[in-house]
Amino acid sequence: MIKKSVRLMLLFTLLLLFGGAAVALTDIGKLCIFSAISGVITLNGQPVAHARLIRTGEKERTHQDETTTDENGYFAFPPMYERSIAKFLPMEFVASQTIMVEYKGKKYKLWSGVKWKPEENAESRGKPLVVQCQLEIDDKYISVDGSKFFTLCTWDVEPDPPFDMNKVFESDMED
Amino acid sequence: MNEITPGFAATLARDVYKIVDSSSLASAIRQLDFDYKGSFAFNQQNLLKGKTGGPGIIKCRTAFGFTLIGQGHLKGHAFILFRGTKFLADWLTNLNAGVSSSACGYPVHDGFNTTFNTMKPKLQAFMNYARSQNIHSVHCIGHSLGGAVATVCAEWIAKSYSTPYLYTFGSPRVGLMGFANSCTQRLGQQRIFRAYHRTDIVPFVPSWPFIHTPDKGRDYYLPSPGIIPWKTYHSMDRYIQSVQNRSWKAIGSRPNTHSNGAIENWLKQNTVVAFTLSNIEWLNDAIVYVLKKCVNKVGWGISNTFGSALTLMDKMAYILKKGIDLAQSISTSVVHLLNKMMLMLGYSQNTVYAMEYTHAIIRRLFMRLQYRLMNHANQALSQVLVKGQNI
Repeated sequence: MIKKSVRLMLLFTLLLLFGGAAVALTDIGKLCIFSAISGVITLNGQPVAHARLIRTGEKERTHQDETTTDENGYFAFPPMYERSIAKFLPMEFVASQTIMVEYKGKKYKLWSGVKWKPEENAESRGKPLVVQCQLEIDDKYISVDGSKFFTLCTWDVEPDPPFDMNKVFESDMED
Repeated sequence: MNEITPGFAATLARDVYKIVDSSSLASAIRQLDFDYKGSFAFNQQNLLKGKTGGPGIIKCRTAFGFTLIGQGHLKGHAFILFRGTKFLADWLTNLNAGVSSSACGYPVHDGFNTTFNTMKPKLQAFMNYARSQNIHSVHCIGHSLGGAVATVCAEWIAKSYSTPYLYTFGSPRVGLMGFANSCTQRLGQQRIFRAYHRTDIVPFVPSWPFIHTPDKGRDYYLPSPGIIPWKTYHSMDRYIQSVQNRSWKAIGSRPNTHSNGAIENWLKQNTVVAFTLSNIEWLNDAIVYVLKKCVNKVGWGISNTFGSALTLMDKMAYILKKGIDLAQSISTSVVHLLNKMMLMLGYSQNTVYAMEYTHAIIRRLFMRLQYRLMNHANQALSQVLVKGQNI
């Protein structure tokens, strides 16, 4: 009887140890709150050159960085990370994102959204996030794998379908 | 019955996290309009007019609420969605937090109750508006701490308006026996949908004497892997995966609820008790069983005394100690229970006799177990909560 209990305890301890180790080894401890994003910005078909871009990512803290477009309206931001206690077991994750563009004395909200998964490139289902943006249009809403965005940009990604409104009531579910 | 599906309730519970501080009501409306094909009505003038929150959004430091009126397919339905912030988590995991009196006068956790009371004026305005719109079904929905606030809210709606539906995912325990009992009766078991993953740690807190609502009828048990309760299966995404495209009917209830006889047997076994999920389930059932046994003899008297959790532990220790002193039949159960708790905490297997259990020792045992569970839960909760400063 005692032997069995000791064995159980040992198993339990091992499980705890190994569980801990697995987390420590596989998780580099960074959460991606804004994936690397690059692309081209135009206004009425013309490249938006030398515009100032201010990117903000926010989870536990606010992070901000800046870049400028080149002659061709091209810009690129590296990934933005946050370290927090959430790193060990990333789960309920909400990071808000914005990119503002300042061009010829005017401000445009290029991007605002909520990133719902901590993985890199969650905004584009794992692919690099490469966008085309038009400052003259109205922003569009897009939901990608639970993340939600309002943006002047488009990128190659399959949007989430709306909720199936035929599955709203319990009575709808009966065959 | 007009209950909504687990998939729909879960998606709404998730969406209330997305309406973060940075987004305006207008963008929230656009999101919901698209995601739910225009099934919600937004009457800016008639909906809540908060000073800062604007119509539809109810903010306070400890929680966030979103109110919706259905149209088209959802005509006649109103929805109140809740989400907690990390400030509410601090409260929940603070052993000094106590209980206060719910809308119907029953003891609930002070953190949830105060949060609800802060939001109440706006909820009242919403409910009055809903009434003018001939709403026949109100659905209160929340995940985690939001589920707890939804429960307190549902009791109030049942008292002041009409009987609502309540849907919670991975909710912590909200109140003491009196509250669980009264809330279950008021709402009716068939209108309460408490879904939880087996290995989600959050439903294990706060510890006894807090218990879940409903206290009878069925729960909606979602099997999940693991031998100890942990945080992974607390995430809303996991809940969505588990309930998607299913009906409530298709979700089972907890299979291994223990009979009184089985509990007595379990209590008698004097073997090592690891801190595993199955043992925590046993212990939960055993504590409720033994406490009820004592309460029947000694009287509970707790609903009128609203103190801190420390006082509650005192009260439990007092009741159990009384149980030991009063009657042999109860005494045996109490001692078995306390021995079991000692074993779970890793103390030696030497039998402790009834007279050795003083009030102070009993209280300490409860505190230790509580502390152990809280430690787990703290970590789980820190994952769930959005940044609370601006909410």
